[in-house]
Amino acid sequence: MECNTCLIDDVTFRYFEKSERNILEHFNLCIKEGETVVILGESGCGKSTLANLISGLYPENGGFLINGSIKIDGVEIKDVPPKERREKVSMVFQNPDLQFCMGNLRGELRFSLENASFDSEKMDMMIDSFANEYSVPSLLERPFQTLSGGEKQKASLCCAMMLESKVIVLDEPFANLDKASRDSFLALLKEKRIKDPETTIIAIDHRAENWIGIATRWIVLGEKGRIISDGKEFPHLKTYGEYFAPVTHHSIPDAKSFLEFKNTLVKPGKREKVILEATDLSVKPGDMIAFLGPSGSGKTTLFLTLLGTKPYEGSITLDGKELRKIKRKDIYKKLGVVFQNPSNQFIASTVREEAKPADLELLASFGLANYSRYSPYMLSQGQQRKLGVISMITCRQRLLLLDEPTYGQDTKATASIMKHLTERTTKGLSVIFSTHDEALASLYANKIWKIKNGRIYEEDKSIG
Amino acid sequence: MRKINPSVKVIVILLSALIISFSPSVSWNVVIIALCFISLLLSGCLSRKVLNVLLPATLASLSIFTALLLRGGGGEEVFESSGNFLVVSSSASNIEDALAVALRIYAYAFLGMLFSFTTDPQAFVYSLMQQCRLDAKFAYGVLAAWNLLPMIKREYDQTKLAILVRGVKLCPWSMKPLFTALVNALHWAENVAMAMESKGFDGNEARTYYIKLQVRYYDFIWAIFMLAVSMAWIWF
Repeated sequence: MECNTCLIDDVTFRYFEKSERNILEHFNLCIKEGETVVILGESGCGKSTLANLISGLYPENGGFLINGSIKIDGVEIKDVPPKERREKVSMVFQNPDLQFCMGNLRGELRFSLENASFDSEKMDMMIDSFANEYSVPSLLERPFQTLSGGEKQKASLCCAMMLESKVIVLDEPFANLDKASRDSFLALLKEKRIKDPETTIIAIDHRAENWIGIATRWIVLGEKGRIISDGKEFPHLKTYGEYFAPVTHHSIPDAKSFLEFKNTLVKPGKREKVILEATDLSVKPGDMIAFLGPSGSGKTTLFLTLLGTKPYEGSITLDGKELRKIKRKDIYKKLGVVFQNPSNQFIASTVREEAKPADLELLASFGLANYSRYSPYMLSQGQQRKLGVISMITCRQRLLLLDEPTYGQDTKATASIMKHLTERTTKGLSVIFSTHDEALASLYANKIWKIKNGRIYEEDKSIG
Repeated sequence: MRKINPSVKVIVILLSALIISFSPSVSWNVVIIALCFISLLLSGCLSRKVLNVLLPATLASLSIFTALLLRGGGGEEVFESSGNFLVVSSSASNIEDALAVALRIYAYAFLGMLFSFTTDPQAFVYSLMQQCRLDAKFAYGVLAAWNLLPMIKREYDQTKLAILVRGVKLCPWSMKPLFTALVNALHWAENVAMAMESKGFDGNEARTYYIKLQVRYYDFIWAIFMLAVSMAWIWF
């Protein structure tokens, strides 16, 4: 078979015309029709940039193509107007919240069909027959804001599939999905693969194991898009443990519990149902607790409760005092939080200012020393999260809540944050981190909390 | 009411509002209010929301009413001392005039509700594109932003909380969370725009519309009727 579907020839790309930092340098790649290619690599290796180039969104929407060409189906994709481009390539993006401009999937599919100038009378018929073919009619009418992240990603895949493009590009579609949502998304993709063997699928990810059973080719990228490996065999990528060996825990055995739940019930409103229940849980100084549960099960809600923004019944004691009796200002002297979107918490205009009173040494140990004069908003998402953690641990808070620290990050970055935090727990810091990643949990946590039907319980780690 | 073309509706309602702002008549204001009330009732849009609008309207209209009653009593004297505000009140030399101005506020409130409660925002944008030749880029941009609002609200609340946790004091008028929200909004706008583009959207006219909105005979009938009622005070 000839290399006719996607031909990338000697591409050099950078974000700032005059900067010397190329994201991709003399990059070559050839993808055949019907392949399912997974492109792997650490953050910053240029894989998302590559996805945007293949879909023709760059350089039109950002950056400069200094050299080379990207041909999809024989034509230079950057010269194809969007309306015709969708016949060649369409894309599913990383953030499920930022892909739609209509209120529900039916509206969004109509919008896509309108763009392609389909006959308006046939639209509903096309949509319904498509939905039945892939058994997704239940998704059609529900408003997007009531869908889970996984359902939104499926909806977005539906849009890409409906357009019947030759190439479908998936840019880290599982960045924040639990296992069940990921499997459901993959099932849909596999169905497409069976019904339509000619479609080429290009997926970007930093976790290879997500794609076992569907990928036919694996490509690993290094710095500036250098191809490290390319082949049909499952590639070996470093795991958390290989980056930083897990630290053995010395949780301080006789210490008094710092945080205790006793028959706690969390309700969104007085008359509403209980959404979270914790009968008997405690956090001791030095604990590193992984908080596992599917998306939407209430992990963030628990954090918000601890931060004093949600009412609860029963008792939560922080440092011996009842939480609801402590002033919010005083809670925050003891509790810190890094949300999923760390850029929300920045208050200063440079990284150095933001990290104060941390010294440069600490910044350097997180690999941020070279960025000390940058604006926090210019950092990549992984770097932003590191900065978020730094600014919290320097506030000398004693318990740190981390909401999905793996989101939008590669293994190395997550491992490095975890390493730093585990080191701090030996000095008495406690950490609760919410995650879907069981490997991360079993490697770094000394306690595992799970949430099932709204009930939070501690799992015996020796069994798990 | 829901069937009336949204563009026609907004133009007629704006015109009506303009016309009645010159009206000194109590009874015709009442007619307008009654008309809107009945229209809302018939289209099944009467709900608690109406009260939410009427409460501030009542406050405004009561305060204007009393102000005009107290100050407007003197007739000619007021005319002489007329400042800016009294341009309005110069005609309100007795209870009836004060009542007319007060009722006008209600009439505005009802006209506004008549539009907003009976119009689907999406249909309105579609209609602006199809009847008023609004640029598709702008129109779909508005729709996308509209659908993002719940998320923007959620992120904004989280930003405020995250900053509070940092130990920074926030007053209600602090710009800090707003700044962060703006930076985020820029990112989001970029992402959504790229997602729209990858679905083949390029903002050109050459597209089909699933919802085709046209101006029909009943739109004209309604428009003429509405305007006639608003202008009736001139003749009667």
